[in-house]
Amino acid sequence: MPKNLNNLKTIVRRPQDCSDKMKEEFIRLVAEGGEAEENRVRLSLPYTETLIFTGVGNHIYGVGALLRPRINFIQHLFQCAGEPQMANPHSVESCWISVSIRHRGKGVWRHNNAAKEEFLGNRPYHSLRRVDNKNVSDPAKEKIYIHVGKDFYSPISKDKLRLIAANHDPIFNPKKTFVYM
Amino acid sequence: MSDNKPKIHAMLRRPIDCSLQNIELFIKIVLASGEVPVENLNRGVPAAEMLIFVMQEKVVIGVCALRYPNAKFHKHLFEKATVPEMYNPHSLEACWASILPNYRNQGALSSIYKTTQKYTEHRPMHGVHRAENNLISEPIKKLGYVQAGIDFYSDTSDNKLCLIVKNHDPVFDPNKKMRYS
Repeated sequence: MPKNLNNLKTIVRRPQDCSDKMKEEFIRLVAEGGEAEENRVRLSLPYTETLIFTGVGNHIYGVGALLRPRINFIQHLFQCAGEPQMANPHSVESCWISVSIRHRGKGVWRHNNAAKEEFLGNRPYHSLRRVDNKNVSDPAKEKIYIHVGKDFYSPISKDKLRLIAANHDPIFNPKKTFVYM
Repeated sequence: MSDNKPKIHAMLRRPIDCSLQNIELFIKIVLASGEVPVENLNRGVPAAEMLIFVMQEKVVIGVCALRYPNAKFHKHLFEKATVPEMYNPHSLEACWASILPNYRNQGALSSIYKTTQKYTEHRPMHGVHRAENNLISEPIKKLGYVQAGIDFYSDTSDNKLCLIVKNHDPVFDPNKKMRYS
């Protein structure tokens, strides 16, 4: 069993604060994971709230992102899952999680995820997983998530999908907002 | 006597929820003010937190944006204004305000303010404008902004600049963050 890497470091950075080299490395690592098309990542990357990089020294071994999806798309996902009342326009999508094949099983993903949770605090967020992707489709592995409704098919994918969400109210409360405190 | 002036109103849209045509229109209106290079807009508009469109009936007559600027530039502004302790990475910049010349002094700016107030009322905000831009400098004071530090020159402009802030602590408190409540 591989050992966790020592000296892992994770940085959470807005795309406007990333160099072109960092962004290209981000795209390469997501493409390596095989869960998202490179062109789609390249197109959507400027719309992300933050990119999350985990590595040692100058070497990046794993990435993730927080994307603010189209409000229509958020509603679509929660409708497909059978829980439209949970759709929250403030919810960011945790996506493009990918760890370099050579460095899997060494604590990279866990480190990346912990930094994401620290950054988000009590903000609502959600994530979409392929049901067949057993590494990440079980919400029990990430204690903060709940499984929203039922698994579903959507025109966006040929695979059965699972929606998981964190910090979501059972019914979206439009009075809630973000307060700096 | 009835007031037959067409009503002005503003609306908030996240860039990802805008059509490509709306993004192009936004950029065109900012360019009309002659204050911002097109490269900055092409790169920065998709990454903005929120775009604001001011409408007179169905015509877009002005725009503005809320964004998180590049962190280095953001810090640089507060250093130049001689108040580096006020730099707050959570502060949104109100920027790219541009009202088409034929529609100025008709309430477009206060319409932007009213529409964004709910979104920004709890958030630290800042903005930078030419110190001699009276179209902005006088009305903005009525909207709750105060000058941070002193006017200054920066490498990014030939003009003397003025940094204005709202909801900023005199000294940044790293324990504060945006919370959902």
